[in-house]
Amino acid sequence: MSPEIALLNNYLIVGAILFGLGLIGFMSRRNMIVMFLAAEMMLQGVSLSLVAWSRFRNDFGGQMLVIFIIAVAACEAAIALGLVTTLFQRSGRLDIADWHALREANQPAFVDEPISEETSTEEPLPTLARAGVAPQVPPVKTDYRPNV
Amino acid sequence: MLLPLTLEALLKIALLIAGLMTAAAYFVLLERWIAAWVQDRLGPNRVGVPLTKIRLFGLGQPIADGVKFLFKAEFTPGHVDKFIYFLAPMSIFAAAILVFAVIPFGSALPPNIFPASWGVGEPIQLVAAPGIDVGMIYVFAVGSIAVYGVVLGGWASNNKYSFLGGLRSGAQLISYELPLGLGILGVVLASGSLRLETIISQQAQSGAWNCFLQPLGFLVFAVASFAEAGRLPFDLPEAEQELVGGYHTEYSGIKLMMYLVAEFLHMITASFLIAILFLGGWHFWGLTDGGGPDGNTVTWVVAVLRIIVLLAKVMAMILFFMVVRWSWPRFRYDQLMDIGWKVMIPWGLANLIAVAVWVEYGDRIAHSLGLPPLLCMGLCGFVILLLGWYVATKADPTLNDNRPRRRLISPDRHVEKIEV
Amino acid sequence: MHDPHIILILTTLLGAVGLWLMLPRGTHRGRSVGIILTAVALGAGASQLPYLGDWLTESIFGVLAAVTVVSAAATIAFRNPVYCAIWFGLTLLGTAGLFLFAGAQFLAVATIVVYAGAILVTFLFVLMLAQPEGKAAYDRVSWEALLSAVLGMVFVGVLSMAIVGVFTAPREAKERPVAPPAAKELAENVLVPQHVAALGTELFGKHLIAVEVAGALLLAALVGAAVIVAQGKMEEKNERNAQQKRD
Repeated sequence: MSPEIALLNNYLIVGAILFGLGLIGFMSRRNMIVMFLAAEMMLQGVSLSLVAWSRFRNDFGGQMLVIFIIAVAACEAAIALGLVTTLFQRSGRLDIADWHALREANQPAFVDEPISEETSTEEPLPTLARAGVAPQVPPVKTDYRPNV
Repeated sequence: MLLPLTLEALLKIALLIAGLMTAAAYFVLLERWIAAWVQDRLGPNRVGVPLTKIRLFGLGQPIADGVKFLFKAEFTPGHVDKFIYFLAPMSIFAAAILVFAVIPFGSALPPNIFPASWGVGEPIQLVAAPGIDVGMIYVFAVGSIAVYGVVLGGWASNNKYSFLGGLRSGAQLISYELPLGLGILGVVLASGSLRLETIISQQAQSGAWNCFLQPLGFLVFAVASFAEAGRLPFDLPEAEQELVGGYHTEYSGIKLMMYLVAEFLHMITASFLIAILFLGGWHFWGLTDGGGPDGNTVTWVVAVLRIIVLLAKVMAMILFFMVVRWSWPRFRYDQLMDIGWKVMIPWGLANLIAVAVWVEYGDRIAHSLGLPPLLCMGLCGFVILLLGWYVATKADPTLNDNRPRRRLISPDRHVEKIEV
Repeated sequence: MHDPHIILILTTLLGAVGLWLMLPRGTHRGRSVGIILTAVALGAGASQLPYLGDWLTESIFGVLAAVTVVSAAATIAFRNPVYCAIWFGLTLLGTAGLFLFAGAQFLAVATIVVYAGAILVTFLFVLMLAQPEGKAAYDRVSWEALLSAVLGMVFVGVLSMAIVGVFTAPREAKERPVAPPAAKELAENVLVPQHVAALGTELFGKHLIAVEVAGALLLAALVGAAVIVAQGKMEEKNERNAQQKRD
């Protein structure tokens, strides 16, 4: 396989992987901003393929299309930001499940399952006791050796 | 062919990093000397050769400061977001150094230094990456990455004041990227190339520096680079009276040193860019003319002279940066934003339009007026400068009177009108 | 076993299960197993990529592609959205590096300026202001994690098999793909040293109308975003006034 064909092959596969990962992210995440990032990742995958084809065909047309993709992505980001801000002002959260009323007519309603709060493994930060009161020192904390 | 190129690149990178780190350390000392000179006192003059009593005018101070930072207790607060806390200063430091990949520090070395068997044909260009055709946008791109270090540092510190400071600094950096780009665009349009070496060669060939031909662009770019470097009068992020330490409140030790060194490197970058784009780079009338068919074949003397001239201009700009810090009070945040969006961007656009008109119709206008084209362009540039200043002062009264205006408060709250 | 199709199918399966385990599902269990499975799938897939000629080219491409793909997987797998944004920034840097590697210098720096320098910073601001606590409950679960992982990986697998199949399967002369350009042709057209000048000539020559339309589109988007946010503020003000009238 000539190096040019191998380069094209590799770039197309990396572009496909990026597109696929963006697809998975867009379909599965619930945070509006992370969904948007996944959509942008899909655009990046497509841009990689276009640049690879532009080099293989020795034509600037692929790079032109990527320039327009970048311009359109900027517009899309501006409008998405406006929408996300407005939606956040109404519901107070960045969760797309809040707007599940926009689903299709034959889909069941979405019920949020409660998940357990994350138990933090870090110890709580030390706080000072009130002035004049001896601080409560937990007995296990003192790790000095009783005899040297 | 590959090995000499790699070695050449690695050598230039090593020179750059060594030079920049030493420069960043010793410019702190220079700043303290200039501060002392402005404030009519003695600067640091005790630490000379370490571990002896030789004073040496305080030249050992940066070494002492560096050792202090290295041995300082590196304390990571318990409430920070550890991954981003580590990442933020590294990203801004990396961005500050990466810019120097396309900045020339001279013109070129004489040809045929090495024996022909080594395969080095072309004269060595004194740029780390001579093949990058998009030099100026690369500088811009890497400068945009510096915003991350600031915003993420403020957020990771998990502290209201750091967060606010990070957001304010980030907003300042983003706002002033636009006038920076507009100032650059005028120069790029006039020179016809994005490569910094080509921009210098154009100024050398025509003999007229861009600061004389596009004074408004020069002003816009200089002000924007002050704001991008975070130097006074735009150093609200560092103002201790405002936000404690801003985004680097919670940092200590080497991470803090990275932030401070990155700030100095931004200042050095800005000085390099101003010297290259507007002050003619390595060109000085009479001293730096090369010979040969394209006017660019240099001898060793000319090559070294060009390096010296460029570094002298950069040094002059750095001294100007430092003296300004101790001369002017800092802007308030709304003044800073006002100047960026309402004054610098219209000026930059006016400059760009003037340059575009000139590039297209300049020769015809100059011929019809009977003047040499460069003189005409310079006159046009100064007219645009005066016009821009007049329009800005008439249209935006805050430039003359900087008290807070009533419009800062939302219109449905009742307050008494502030008497103008 | 060394049939590329079988290896690609295995890669797809392993990648699907690994990504499903890596996606936020409300528990910590299985994330490390997911990471290992995805790494194995990535390695197996990378072994199928054709060799690029010399070791320097192959290693540079390998590093760039690995950085891009790993940070893309991290973008969709982390639960804290700020971390997702940072990993996406690294993905953009990797993509810009790949553009530069293919000779598209202007696109590389334009990607960093526009995407990483503007779009991502804006979304980072929105995230930091809207969700200061970092991970919320809805960040720790996803919609159909298994279904989307399987769907995405099957999609990637089918694409990869198609791409690999086009260039390696023996075909008749009339079905063979176009011959690649020689280095001399490339150096005159796409890889010309004055890259920006050539790009500009083509952009403002052949595609001038598209540029003007893109400018109008940018203006429309700017105005639209301003209107959307302003309408939200006006509605909020009307609600507050209505509330005050009722009190």
